[in-house]
Amino acid sequence: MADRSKDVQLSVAPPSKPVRAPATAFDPIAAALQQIHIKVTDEAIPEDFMRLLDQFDTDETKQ
Amino acid sequence: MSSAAVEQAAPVAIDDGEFKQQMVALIPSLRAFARSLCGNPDMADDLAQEAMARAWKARQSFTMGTNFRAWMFMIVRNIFYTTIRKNSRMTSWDPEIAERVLVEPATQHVGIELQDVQDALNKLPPVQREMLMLVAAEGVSYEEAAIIAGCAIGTVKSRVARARAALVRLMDGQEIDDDHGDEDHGKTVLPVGFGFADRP
Repeated sequence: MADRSKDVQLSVAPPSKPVRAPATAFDPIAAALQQIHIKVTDEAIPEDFMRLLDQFDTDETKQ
Repeated sequence: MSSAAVEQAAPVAIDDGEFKQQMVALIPSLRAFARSLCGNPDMADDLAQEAMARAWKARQSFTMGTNFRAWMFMIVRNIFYTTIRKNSRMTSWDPEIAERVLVEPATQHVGIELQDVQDALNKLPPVQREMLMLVAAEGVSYEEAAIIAGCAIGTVKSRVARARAALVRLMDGQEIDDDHGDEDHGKTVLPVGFGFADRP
């Protein structure tokens, strides 16, 4: 006997269309700003920063 | 209210190890945000490190579960604007420094020259530049940007829109007017020295 439960479900609650963000055109300025930002975030973290973090621990130990 | 509920509602201070972990993870964004504020890479790193040092000292005031990025960015921003207000020796943006900001050669990948965008960006008032970079580049929401800048969401939207329009005009070879928006620290100035003497 065929299982009709799926058909019943569909008739009661048809799947709604997926909600999508409205398509936006390519924004060259936003893309450029992101590239400028990524150039910095992709740089290796200078040693100074790690030394500073180590210094936090040292200062804590002293206290 | 039961004592258990009161305990649950009390702010929980972040543990030092976790605090430091979150700080390390945020370093690239801190550096980028600092650079969007002051332009000069070395000065930006000084600014980011000063913010980290102050945040570490004030870590007990940070509540776990709240927005760490916004908290850190607020510190960066406060140091920057406090410094440029206090510093009497200010100079206009140095084009040679600005040129060094972009270390890689310009690229056409996005249809426009990155160098042109960078040059135009450097001419924007800091309040506009920071908002544009936060929202368009760092991906911060208008709400979070408003928290960071301590202003209304509408002000953030307005600054982003004005910054964008100004950027387009500058890239088109036009000048932007001297209307720097709604704050007194909108002038494009570069502090000669931050003088971060109180770093641990």
